[in-house]
Amino acid sequence: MRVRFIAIISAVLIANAIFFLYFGFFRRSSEQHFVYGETFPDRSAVDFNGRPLDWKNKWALLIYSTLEFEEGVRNARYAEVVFRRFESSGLVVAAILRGGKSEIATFVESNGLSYPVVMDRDGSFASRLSLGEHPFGIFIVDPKGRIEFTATHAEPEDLRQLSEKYLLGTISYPRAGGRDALKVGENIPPMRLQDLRQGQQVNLVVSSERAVVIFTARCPSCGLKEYLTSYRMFEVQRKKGAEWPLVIFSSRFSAREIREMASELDISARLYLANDAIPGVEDEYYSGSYGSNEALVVTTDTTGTVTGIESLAKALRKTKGETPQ
Amino acid sequence: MKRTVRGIPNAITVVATLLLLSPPIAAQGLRHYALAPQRLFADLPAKSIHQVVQKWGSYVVLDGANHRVVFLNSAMQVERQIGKIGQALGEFYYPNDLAVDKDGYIYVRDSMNRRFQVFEWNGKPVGEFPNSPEAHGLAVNSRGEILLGQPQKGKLVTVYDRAGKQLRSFGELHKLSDFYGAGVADLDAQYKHAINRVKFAVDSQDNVYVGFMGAPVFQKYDANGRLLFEKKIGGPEAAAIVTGFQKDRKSPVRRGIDDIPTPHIITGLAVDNATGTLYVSFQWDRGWVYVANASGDGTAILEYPQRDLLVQNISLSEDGKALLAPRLSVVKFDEAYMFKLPSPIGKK
Repeated sequence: MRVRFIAIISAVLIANAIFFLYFGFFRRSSEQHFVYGETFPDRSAVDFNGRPLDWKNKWALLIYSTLEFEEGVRNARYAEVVFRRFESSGLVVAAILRGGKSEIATFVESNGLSYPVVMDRDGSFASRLSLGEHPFGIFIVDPKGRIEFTATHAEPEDLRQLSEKYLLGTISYPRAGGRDALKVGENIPPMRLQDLRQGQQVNLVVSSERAVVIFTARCPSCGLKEYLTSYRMFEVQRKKGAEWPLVIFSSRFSAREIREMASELDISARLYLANDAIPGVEDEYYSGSYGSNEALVVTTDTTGTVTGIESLAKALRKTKGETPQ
Repeated sequence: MKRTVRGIPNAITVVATLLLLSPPIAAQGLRHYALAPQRLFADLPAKSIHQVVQKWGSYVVLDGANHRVVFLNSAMQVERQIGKIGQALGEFYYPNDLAVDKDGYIYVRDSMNRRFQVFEWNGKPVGEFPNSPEAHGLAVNSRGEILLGQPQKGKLVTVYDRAGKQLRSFGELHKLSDFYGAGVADLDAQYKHAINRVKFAVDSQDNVYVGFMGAPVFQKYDANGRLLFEKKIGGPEAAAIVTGFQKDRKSPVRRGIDDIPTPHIITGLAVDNATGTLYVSFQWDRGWVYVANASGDGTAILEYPQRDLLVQNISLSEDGKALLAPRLSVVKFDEAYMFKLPSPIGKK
């Protein structure tokens, strides 16, 4: 009798132990995200073209995103800059994108991505990464496969800081803009842009007297309405007969949001979205810019030479006849 | 004679108009002053400044989006930093609140790592504990006890030790309609926690000053958590806030906490240990600082200089002559200011 009792108790305890082990450790619920220090579930994958890639014994920056999630898309684009900067230091950069092959191929081509991209057609990779309902996640995996960092929110600047931290051992904190900043007397460098009205790619070369309004921002979604409202005032106050300003947005803005907001505010000018960092104004690697807090107005003479660079707010005060502060 | 008679009604009109315009100010003896801003740390490559505290001659600056705490000397030169991006002990991911105690221990709300961390003055991490349930409002008393606003736990203030062990809690929760009347009672349930989100200050006797983020009301508790007073911010500005909220049923500046657009009215408190003067920063579509004496009675209103210059938080400079404040803005979030207190208010 006693032996039978002990056997039953033992069986119950073992069953409990198996239950807790299974549900507590091996099976992760959709809300249990991976955390710092855990082992990343994969150390290799196949890219969307069928090429194998692995990050065994290497540092890896892995980005998961759906193609619709702007924060993820922004980071996937910036990962190209990180890849170019740190590939030679042994960093593996890969994006795992939710979508079909043709969608991913279009995305890779339009964003000029040269790092490997893995296809997650049915969301199974997201489940394996325990992302739950999150459309985006980043992982920094050390050479032993340990997760050094994971988050479901990140800015491009975070990718830079993380890469510098693990690959260089130190993080730089530069001021925005600076190094190759556009100056009066120079020409605006040519740039490739998307015409948001016509939907075409254009090469912009400024060779006439006009104003070029440039919107850069660290937080494009935060600044867009404020910037466009200020721009609207600038447009209203422009000199009679003057050419419409060219309006260029940093590649970090969303084309859809610009179109919607411009339509809401009844803005007439041609609107362009930069394909890459705006030369002379944005620093691609530091994801910074001068004017990242303020829109810039760059004026040119008849030859396209820059005659002035000032904030849109200052330009507005001037056109209103106020003393610039 | 005729001229005199005609002049009397005119004089009466002028006096009546003046009285109509000024009674709230005159009745409460509130004097109005304009604050002059002085930009701080303009050369610091900061990305979003959430808190500025002066301690032992250093400025301690929480540079949230650079995931670090920066120490600058009085010449505004960077001397060192605590933390960097990461998730190990001593690292941060979007930290957004900071307090320093009298012994120089530094307490950081490590927001996206969902924890609080404690550091010695030299930067050595000495502890961490989870930020759960999510707290807003952080202060430290002279015993190194940490005060957090966690209305989910049923009280306004929950007190922890440095290891994260809960010690006690105090302060009764309010309803939205307690502040704005029965006309908003239908929102009471939705704002159950939001209206009880608070900001803190602690004085050298460990009295705790609590400001409701969602209403122009502040309280004082003694070191044992006994309520000493609850006061409404006086003056026409706060009165307009109450009527504005009653009309619009929302405030122009809100914070998304717990998925609720939490009104952001009181933005910070600071107390001068030498004089007992309390400073309460509050805002609607522009910002002010309410100055109160140790009994909580208003003495002055200080107006921030620009309509768009709102602040996230305030602290008092070590000499008691200025308020230090990071700017609240969706664009200019890397700015911090010093506002010299007008001479009748700050220390001479």
